Amino acid sequence: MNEVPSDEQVAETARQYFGRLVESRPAPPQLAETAIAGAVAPRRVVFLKPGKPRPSWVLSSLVAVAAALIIAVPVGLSLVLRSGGAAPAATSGAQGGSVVPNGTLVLSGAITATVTAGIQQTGLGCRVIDSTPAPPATTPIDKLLTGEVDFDHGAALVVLTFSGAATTSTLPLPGELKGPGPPGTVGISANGREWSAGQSSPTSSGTLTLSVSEGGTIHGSVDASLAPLRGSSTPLHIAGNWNC
Amino acid sequence: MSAEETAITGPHVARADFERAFRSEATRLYYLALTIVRSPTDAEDVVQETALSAWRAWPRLRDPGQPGPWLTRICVNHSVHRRRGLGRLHEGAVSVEWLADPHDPLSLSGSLLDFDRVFQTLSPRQRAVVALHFYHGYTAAECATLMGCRPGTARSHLARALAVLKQEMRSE
Repeated sequence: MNEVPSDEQVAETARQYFGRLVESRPAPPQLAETAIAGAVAPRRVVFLKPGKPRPSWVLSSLVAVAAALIIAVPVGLSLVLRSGGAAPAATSGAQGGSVVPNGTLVLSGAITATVTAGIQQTGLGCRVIDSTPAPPATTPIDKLLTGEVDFDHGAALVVLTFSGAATTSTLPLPGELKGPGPPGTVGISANGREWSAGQSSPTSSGTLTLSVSEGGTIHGSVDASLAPLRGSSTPLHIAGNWNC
Repeated sequence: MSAEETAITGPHVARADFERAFRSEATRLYYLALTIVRSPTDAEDVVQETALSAWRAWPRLRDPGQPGPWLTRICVNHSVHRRRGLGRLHEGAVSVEWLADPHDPLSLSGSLLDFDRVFQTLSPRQRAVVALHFYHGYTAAECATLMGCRPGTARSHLARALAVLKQEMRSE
């Protein structure tokens, strides 16, 4: 095609393209039942289901996965995220969300707004991941607190992603672990733009404090300047706290 | 059932309502996700992630009798975030036989091949708005609602995507 196609020609091509795509990739017969079974299963062991070596909803939180890997490598742990794994390490993912997520964040810099945790639309929820070292290691149990919380911002959605130990982390962390426990990371996604503070964002600064109650509720607070990752060149400062 | 399990799974009545609602929407959501993420495997994962998010927020849904738009918005969000977050190779990225007319397998339109190539280079939100607008028939304002952005932003995504598609399809 050497001429510029018209809008209508592109639209028609799009309709043909998606039509062929849909026609050639029919929905699996058990789609609904599988999805429902995975969703309503008590606790979140559903992401450990066998036959899916890539647990998609864990992987979709890149920050959480990166943090989990960073824990595992330095301290010689093997995080087993699939059921029935033969590796001699143990990992348990405990649902942290025993409360309706709540909290408030004050954003400034790239976005100026005060946002409140609302209906959770895209979040992976919050969880505590306990990992015990493979024998004969004697490293104490590490506890990774990780999750996503959705905050309402008018028609848009501000998604907070966090990961770290039950402590106060100074951001960014050094390139390698100096002590036990996972590093802290915190990220914001809003309208296709992303900011992050933590190990992968050396220009970020601030603190991230995480703790977990007896009932499994994760408490987080942050006061940090996040480096732009995507869609923005301006840092984003966030301050506030949340429970989930 | 422990208190924790009750909090997570919810009452049986709510569960039955959720299952009924999701079952009636699952296939539609799959095709919606498929047109954005392109890969059937990813589309299945998106549907599963949508079910998970929806079930967790179900107790706070204001109008359980009309869950369609709400589920659609969750599904679009997961579709957009999935491609953006993982950026992985998709099955079918090399094979293009599916683009041929099923009634005439030897036909393979050059414009469809071009469209497929360019579509994969668009940003996740551009892909979403192209699929939602041109195939699923949503207006730009409706796309904005589904994508959680302002109408002007959705129009901007659409205009840029259209410009790229026209430019790249011409250059062949």
